Amino acid sequence: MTSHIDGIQIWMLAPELSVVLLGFLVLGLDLITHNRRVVAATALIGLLIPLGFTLSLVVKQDALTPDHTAFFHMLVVDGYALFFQFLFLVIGFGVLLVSYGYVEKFLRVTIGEYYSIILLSLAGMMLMASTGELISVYISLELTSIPLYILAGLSRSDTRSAEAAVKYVLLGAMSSAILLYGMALLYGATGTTDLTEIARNTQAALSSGNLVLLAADVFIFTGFGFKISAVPFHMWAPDIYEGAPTPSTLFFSVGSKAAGFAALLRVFIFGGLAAISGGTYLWVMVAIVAAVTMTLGNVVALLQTNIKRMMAYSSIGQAGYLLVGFAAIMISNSPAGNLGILAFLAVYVVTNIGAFTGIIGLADATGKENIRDFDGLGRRAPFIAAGMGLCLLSLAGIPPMAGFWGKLFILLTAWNQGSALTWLVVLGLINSAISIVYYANVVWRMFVAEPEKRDRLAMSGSVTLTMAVAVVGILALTIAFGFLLTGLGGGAGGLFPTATTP
Amino acid sequence: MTIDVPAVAFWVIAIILVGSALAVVVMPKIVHAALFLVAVFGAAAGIYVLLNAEFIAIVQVLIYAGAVTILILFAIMLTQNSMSRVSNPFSGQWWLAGLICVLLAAGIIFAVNSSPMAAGAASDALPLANAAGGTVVKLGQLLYSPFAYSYVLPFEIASVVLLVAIVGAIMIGREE
Amino acid sequence: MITLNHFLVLGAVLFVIGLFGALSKRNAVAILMSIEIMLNAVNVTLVAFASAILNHGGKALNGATVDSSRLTGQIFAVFIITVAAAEASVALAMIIAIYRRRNTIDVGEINLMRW
Repeated sequence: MTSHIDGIQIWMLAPELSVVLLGFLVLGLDLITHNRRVVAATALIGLLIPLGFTLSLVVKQDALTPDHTAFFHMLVVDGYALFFQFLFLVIGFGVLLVSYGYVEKFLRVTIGEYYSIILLSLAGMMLMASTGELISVYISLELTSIPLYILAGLSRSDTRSAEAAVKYVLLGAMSSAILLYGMALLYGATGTTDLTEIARNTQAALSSGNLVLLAADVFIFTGFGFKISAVPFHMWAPDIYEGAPTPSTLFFSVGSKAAGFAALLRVFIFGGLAAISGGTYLWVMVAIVAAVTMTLGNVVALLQTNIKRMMAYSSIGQAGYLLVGFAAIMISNSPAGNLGILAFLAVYVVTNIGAFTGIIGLADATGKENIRDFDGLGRRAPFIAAGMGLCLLSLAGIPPMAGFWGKLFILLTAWNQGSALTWLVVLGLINSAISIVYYANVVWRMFVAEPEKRDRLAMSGSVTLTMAVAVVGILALTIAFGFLLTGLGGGAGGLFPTATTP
Repeated sequence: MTIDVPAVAFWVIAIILVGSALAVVVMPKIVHAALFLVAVFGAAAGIYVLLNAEFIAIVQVLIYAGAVTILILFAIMLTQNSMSRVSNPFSGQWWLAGLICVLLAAGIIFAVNSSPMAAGAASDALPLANAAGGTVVKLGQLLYSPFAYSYVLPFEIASVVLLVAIVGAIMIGREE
Repeated sequence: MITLNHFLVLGAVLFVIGLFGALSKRNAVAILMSIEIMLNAVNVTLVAFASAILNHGGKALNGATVDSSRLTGQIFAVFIITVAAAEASVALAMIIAIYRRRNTIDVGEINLMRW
């Protein structure tokens, strides 16, 4: 670790820094020009700059500081962080592009204001994946969350949106407080907030039967449980997803969830929290939460009539699958398990962007968002319907779609842990079967059911383009899935370079 | 017999702190609850003084007892008559929340009492209100110094957080 | 004699009082005030830990090793106070916004205890 901050360390922060500056630029540009296209184009093209920086960090890994950390161990630029930076930039690109038409029609802010809030939140998400210290994790989490609260409440006419914002901010603040209490206990138990030092100290003598550590773990998991909408902390998700403007909902369902998992994994694996003695109780707790989360999410999704509410429960179910993977790597951490979770997340992000693009497209054209409004969409907007159908089937995990491989991989990780998690794998398969019903129902309505009106819907260019990108992404992920895994696996040790789990 | 002044001070402040916190939660009028919240903030500042954290105490008074309280009182004023009968009612399931919280408190207190911590055993005596232990200079360096170990990264992120909050509050608050 | 334990118990009691308020109140402003109590409890805990570590000359005990006296707990408290103020301002803006639309800030329908 270098003793003072130099140019290399600034460069290691460059992706996040450039996203923040892009956010400022877009906000300022909005004051100067009223041309929406210029602002939007600046934001979208500007995202190539952080992407370039991220790629430069990937390519020039040797030029980084020796242990890949900067700012006194607070910034960690390892393979794991770079993977998530890339993922978040994809999310940012998709959300910005798809929300272009929606903002003008339904929101009470200008495009520049909306984009700048999203970009600043995106910077927070990127930081959440790349910080190796609890204070930074907390501040990044708040940089992520505060914009999300705002994004929930920006609808012009819908009162549900204001309600969603209040619910989100109150529950979010409460979960932050719970998380902070866990961090405070962890600091007291280990004497430090640096995750590497925490990992070292938890393996010292003080870890044997240490109830403070156990309590800290539970509080921290609970705090993150809200962010990833795991049961029983899921209550916020359906109301907020339904009430918020649809592009914001998309951003919550992919961005917030991925960032929550990024930080959760970082803190538990990097910080050695999964390996404390008494960790047995922890993975049992996680496994139970995973089981309840999947089941409740998928079963309640069957009963929904509003498509956004259905997608909220669907995303709760997907969080359940991710927690299965998390439970597995808490038992024993393996590069393969990490890869399974990351691959599942990547697929989830791309398919969810595609599915929401269809929902936003319909809302743009008709302002409707009930499941029955999708009747006959296959005839009214063939390309959007086809793309959305593809994404939904992938979310359901129908072979040979990318979602199937992601799910298979995550369940295999759990299966390989031996008999302890067999029941969870079986439950995962049952849930998969249940989920096919409600995903396929939407597809059936789009292509088989008779529409009330047979007019062609005019889809905006941005929606069509986003859908095209998402479809290409899914197909690419489907075909290259093995390649993706081996590609990541090549640097498998690099994902968690210093994390060791006995 | 000498009186242990810091110890007496601790008990007085702790009782005020817990009592006001309870009052915030149970007072039927929201304005009264807000006034007791000021007492909570003030008493917490007293705790920080006892723990030799003068800077935190001052920040606590300035930001919490000053700024946040004023914000909350403004919000209460602007949302008058917003509740039907009482301005600060309990929900129906308060007993369930209470049960969970009592169990949680018991669990935490048991945990900190029975486990070794890097901060020392729970039974270690703390030197209270030790005037010699000024930490302000050290804190300043730890917050911002680029040349020695410091929390400069979270410090910079926090500045962006504040900007986001300003921009967001304007977006939410402004009329159509 | 006042020990670390006194402060930790104080923090824990304060935390659960705040949590109880946040889970059981219906006025949105009251929930926010309860959350502020929770954050104060966290700060009391953090500062107490920092003080205890400082008391050992900046060394961590019980087999743990820490580089130097970093006052991490106090720094953490400064950040929490800063961010909590920002969060409170956003939350209050939203509460006022919903009051303008619905004329109520009773959050009976987002009762956390309900599934």
